Amino acid sequence: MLWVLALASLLVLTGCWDSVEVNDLGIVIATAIDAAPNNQVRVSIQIAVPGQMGSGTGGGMSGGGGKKPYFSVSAVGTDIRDTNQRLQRMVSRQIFVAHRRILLIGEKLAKQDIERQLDEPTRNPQSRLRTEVVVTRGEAMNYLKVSYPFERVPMEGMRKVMYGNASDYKMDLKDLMIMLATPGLQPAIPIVDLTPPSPGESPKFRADGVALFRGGKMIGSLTTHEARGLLWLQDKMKRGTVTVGIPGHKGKVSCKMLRVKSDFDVKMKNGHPSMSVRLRPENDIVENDTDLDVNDPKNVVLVERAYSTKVKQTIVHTVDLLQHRYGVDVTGSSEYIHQAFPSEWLKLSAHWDQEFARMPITVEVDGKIRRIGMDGPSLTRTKGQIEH
Amino acid sequence: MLEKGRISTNQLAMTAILTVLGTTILFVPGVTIALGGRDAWLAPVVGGLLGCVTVLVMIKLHKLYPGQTPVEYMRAIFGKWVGSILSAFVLFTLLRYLATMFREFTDFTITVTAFRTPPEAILVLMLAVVFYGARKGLEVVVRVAEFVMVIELTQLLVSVITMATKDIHWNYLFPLFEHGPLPVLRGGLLVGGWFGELITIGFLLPFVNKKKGVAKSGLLAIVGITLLLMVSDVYTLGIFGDIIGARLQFGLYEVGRYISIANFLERLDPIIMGVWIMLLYCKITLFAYVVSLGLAQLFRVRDYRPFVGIVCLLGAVMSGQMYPRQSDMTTYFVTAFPPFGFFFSVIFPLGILGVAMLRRRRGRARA
Repeated sequence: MLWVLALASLLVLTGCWDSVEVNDLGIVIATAIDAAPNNQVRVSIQIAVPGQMGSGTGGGMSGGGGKKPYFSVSAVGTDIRDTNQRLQRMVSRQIFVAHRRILLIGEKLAKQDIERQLDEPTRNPQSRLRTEVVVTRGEAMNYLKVSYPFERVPMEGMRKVMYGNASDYKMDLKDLMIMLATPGLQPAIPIVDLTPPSPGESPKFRADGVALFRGGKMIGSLTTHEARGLLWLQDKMKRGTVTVGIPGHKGKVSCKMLRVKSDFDVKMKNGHPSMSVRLRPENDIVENDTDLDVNDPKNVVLVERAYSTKVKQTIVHTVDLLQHRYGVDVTGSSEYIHQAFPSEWLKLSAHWDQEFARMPITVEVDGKIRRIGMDGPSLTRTKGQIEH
Repeated sequence: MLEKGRISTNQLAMTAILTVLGTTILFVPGVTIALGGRDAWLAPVVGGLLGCVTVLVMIKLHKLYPGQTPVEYMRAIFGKWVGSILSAFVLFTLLRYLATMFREFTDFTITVTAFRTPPEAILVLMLAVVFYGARKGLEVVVRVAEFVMVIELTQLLVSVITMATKDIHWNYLFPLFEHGPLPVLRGGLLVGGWFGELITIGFLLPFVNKKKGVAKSGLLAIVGITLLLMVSDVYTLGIFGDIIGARLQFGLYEVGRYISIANFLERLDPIIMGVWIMLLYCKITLFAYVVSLGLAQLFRVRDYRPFVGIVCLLGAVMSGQMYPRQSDMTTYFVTAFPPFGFFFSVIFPLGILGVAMLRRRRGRARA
């Protein structure tokens, strides 16, 4: 019996319908999606060339042509999958997106509609919901042509610029889908830009604020500074240095945030919500070019006050922009109302953006300085210049 | 006696856990969230209560007719003809459940990995091991379940709990009862449909070696299932939210795909897939065994083993015939399955118990 089974299994096991060898896979590192004329879409992919990966030094990549461990192709079609088929005609290996880490969306497409083009990346069983998303200034296709010295594949470098260790903001496909599909939530996607090219050097990737979306369309953007206000509001600010001037003293003090205690409180009055935001960031002083002796608590209190005012201004400015210029809630404040007032939320959710624009938001920042670095008064000054 | 093997109460509990968990741990989060919204993670509690009814009724019936399987005592209660028809109904329903499992298995495997492989090829591999296992008798079936339960389920839980907890947004689980208690009840009825598969323990009870502690192990199994299903729901809901979570086909599998530890430990989906296939194997083998045993008793054949092959093949063929499209199965789960499951696993056993008690009383009065 067992022998018959074993022999029978030989018959089935030889047919490997889905076998693809690793060296038949074209591993896509990044996909860039752009709008094309006639309601079409342009898809560009950057594919890793594993053979070039191990050998040679990192420096060799930007130099001699044809030796790069990556290459890019681009095609136009009616939707992503249609375009994928056209791309496949140019690529000798099967296009394989399971290792894709970043998805670029061109600015023009973002302004038209991103919802149509994002079904494929979530439906495809290869593609992962962890794929991070950025909006590019200008055409996304151009970003795949840029070389980057640090990483073997430039798009991995860009991903780290945008979402690496230096960033607190995360926007992957899963988060984006939640925000697109949930009433009352709207996405804010980080924007990547290229530094202006200088002779003899290729441009570099640079994080440049966030794009604001409503109903799947980009309606505007916040600058990097304004985006910091948004991070505070989203309770995603986990680090970051704020430089403040102290009234009555020349120079600036930089404070590095270590942690923050935040408290978002919503109240409901006559069916209209209001929100108060209380933030208690803790900081270290990392630079002090004023004449203040920061060993003196009195002076530290001055810095704390200036810091709190500055942070509050940043947040209030962002709130003002979101409420009055764009009228869109990308802060996720609706979630607090949903939690605290579920029955009222059912009514509010239908017209949340208008309601958000009217919602009073009070901001209270109580910054604390915990430590002051390696020296008290600045070492660069003579004794007479130090203010005690 | 068709079956000479004996199992312990612990083995009964573990088999019962796998009976429900085999399919549900992967499929249920999506459909429960679709019905229950943010309260979906409470639905297993309601389902568990329904499961308690099923288990307690099966145990009570077994006390009234010790050493007999449902097929045998239904004949004793209802007489030869009606009893046989009711048994045929039970066995056919279990066969349909078996076919549904085969379908879930092929749909899942084909969707996530083997796109071009014909479902028959995948089924043949599963059928071969199921056929082999089910023919070896109850003790083998149960011991494999025990083994899988201890090793695979632990692996699944450890890998998911340690690695995905950091991605949970706990506020996606609240507010509680935002649309009233109805969504929880609807979700619970749906989960209860799967808890209803515990009706199969009616076929195992005659072979438990100690009659003491059977109820305890049955209830323990239900607590275990409820908790594990809640874990599965909490992770799917907490990571994907109620809106996306409801649209995902394979909730817990997506959780596995979403795991990322320090950009290094990623794509744990093969682990979840492997574990799930093992769980499903146990469930399918048990069902194939129970249906074959029931058929043998129904037709008063001395050996159940000739039926195993027929049952497996029938299940495999039905899996393709019952649901022409995958969407048919999903729709069936959300629409027809909850009320039918409620009837089949709560009302139907209660009815049998009611008739059995009546008969007994009348019999006693006559004597």
